[in-house]
Amino acid sequence: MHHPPERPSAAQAATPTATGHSLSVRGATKLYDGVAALDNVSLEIRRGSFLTLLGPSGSGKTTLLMTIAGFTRPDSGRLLVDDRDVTDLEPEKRNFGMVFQGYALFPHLTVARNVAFPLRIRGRSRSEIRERVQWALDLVQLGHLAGRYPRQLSGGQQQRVALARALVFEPEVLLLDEPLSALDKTLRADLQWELKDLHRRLGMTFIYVTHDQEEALSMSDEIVIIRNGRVVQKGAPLELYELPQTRFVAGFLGKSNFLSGTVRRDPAGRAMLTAGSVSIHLPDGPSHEGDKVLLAVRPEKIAVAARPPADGRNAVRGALVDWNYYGSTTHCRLDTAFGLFHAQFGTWGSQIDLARGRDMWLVWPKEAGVVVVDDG
Amino acid sequence: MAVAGETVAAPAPPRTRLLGAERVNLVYWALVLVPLVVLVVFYIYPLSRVLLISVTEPRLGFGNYVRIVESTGVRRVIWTTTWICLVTSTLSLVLGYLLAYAILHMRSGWQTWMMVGVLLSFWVSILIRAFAWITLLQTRGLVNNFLLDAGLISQPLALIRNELGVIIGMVHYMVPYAALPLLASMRSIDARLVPAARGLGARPLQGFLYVYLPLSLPGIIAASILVLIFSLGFFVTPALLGGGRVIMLAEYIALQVNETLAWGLGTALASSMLITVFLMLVVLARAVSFRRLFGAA
Repeated sequence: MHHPPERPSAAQAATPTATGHSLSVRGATKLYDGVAALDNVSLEIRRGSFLTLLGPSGSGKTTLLMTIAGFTRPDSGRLLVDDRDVTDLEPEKRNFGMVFQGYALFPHLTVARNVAFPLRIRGRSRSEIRERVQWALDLVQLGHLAGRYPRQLSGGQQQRVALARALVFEPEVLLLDEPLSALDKTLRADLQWELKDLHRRLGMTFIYVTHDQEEALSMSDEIVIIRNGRVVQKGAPLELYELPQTRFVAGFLGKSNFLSGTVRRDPAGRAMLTAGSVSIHLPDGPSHEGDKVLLAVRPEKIAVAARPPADGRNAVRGALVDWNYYGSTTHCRLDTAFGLFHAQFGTWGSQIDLARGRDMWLVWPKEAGVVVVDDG
Repeated sequence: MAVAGETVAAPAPPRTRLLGAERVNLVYWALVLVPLVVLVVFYIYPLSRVLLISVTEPRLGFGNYVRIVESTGVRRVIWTTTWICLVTSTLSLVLGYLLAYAILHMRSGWQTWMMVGVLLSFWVSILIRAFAWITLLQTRGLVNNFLLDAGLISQPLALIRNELGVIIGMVHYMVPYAALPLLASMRSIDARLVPAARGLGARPLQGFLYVYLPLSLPGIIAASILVLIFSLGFFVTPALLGGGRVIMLAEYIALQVNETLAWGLGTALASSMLITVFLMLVVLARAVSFRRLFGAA
């Protein structure tokens, strides 16, 4: 093979070394004992994007990742990398980097030899292996631990070795299967920054599987929400969080309060959601009188007040059941005509006097609500 | 090369103050003494007698050991034993590896049945097995009759009363002994490692050679020791399936002690064998950690 005269060196670690590739999943279906783990899933993954597959356990997100990686063969459907069909390729022929859940480091090999593994398999020269391993270990700031064995490393360090090993051979796509789930919260937050930074520096396509919604929101360019083997909704984190289309998405990605009722018009012709004697304004959008609607409202968009507002914002009355103090925020639960309501506000500067059983008002502007499809 | 951190000393067992120090002492010594007495009476004393006889019969000195080295007959027996043991161990190890690997990668229902199959073989006496093999392998046995009837051979094959017969019988006996330590060792291998290797570009065979095989090495070594030491002492199988033509060390020693009454030579051979096995273990212990080998670490 012809090599360019200059090999990437540690000093160049900050420059992108692999150009991104686009990926396309078309109609992937996989049945296990007659149950669809993947049900006609289609996805377009842009080159160089950080895409997260998010879903509860058993949703099929890992099956989808394993199908992309080549460990699971779909019953039908195709997988394309830059218009090249790779559906029938064995995993080792796909040239994807993969970080496994639990890292799957080789316990009998040192850090350096773990990272060198993909290069040795590919029969690269000794000097090239040395350079690339150095580059990859510098990339994850582990150059000083090259001689250690995996069991001598902390969880976070093992995670970085797995990352270096998956990146060292310049794969076309990097697949990550819940790489941070085994780490404690602080470390997880640190590594989220690092992963994101790494993605930006390398310009590679990352496909990331997680069940942690905060992880998905903080790192991704695009999130794909999967449930029962189907794509429920996909989009940028902000779009998904602010405009969930279904009850499931509104409740899974962040928290939501749900209000169900019937559409009515107030004297001014504005759409209202009415349930019993309570009526609240719906956000602007098409609605037909008499329709059943479900409204989702985020807890942090609801203000808790002692008196009803005078400015025409939505207000629902409720008795304070309980509250939790989390330091920066305080979460309240109130018993209302719509059932139990959650509200959340910044603790600092809040003037609310909380007492169990006290009648209070939950207040939000109508734009804070989102009408969603009730998918159960 | 960096080596694992120090093994941490086990925490001291809590002392039972309730019983009173003296009682505890008594119990302690009783527990130590009983096995010690058994060990001395049934193992150490007879063994030291064996060692003693080997240097005193028929006269004081190392004459018996000199005879071992000088006698061509003894040398041939040692050579036969070594050769058969090496072949047996290698074959048992390969078959045991395949068996253990197969058991581990079966569906759990099949796994149970295969384990039962392996363990069942421990219940059949070695004598019965040797006779069973004779029935199968003799000149007019099942195997030869089948091959003759099928027209695959025109003359019966010599399957017993030779090294082949001995090796068949011994391998059959040793495979479960090889499979069990291997199985224990393979069970501890993370099942995601080979897929991980494939995800990094390794073909299935490369994944096996570079990841699975090295990780099962402790099991291979443990199984080799077990099988090799076991097969060195084989007596019944070579005696029956060798038909008197393949003499292995254990049978030769029995011959010296029972028939020719050359107790000196017999015990010298037995002692040599013991020392050889012991030296093998010492050399091996230098190469690998026994604690890790048998799953202690």
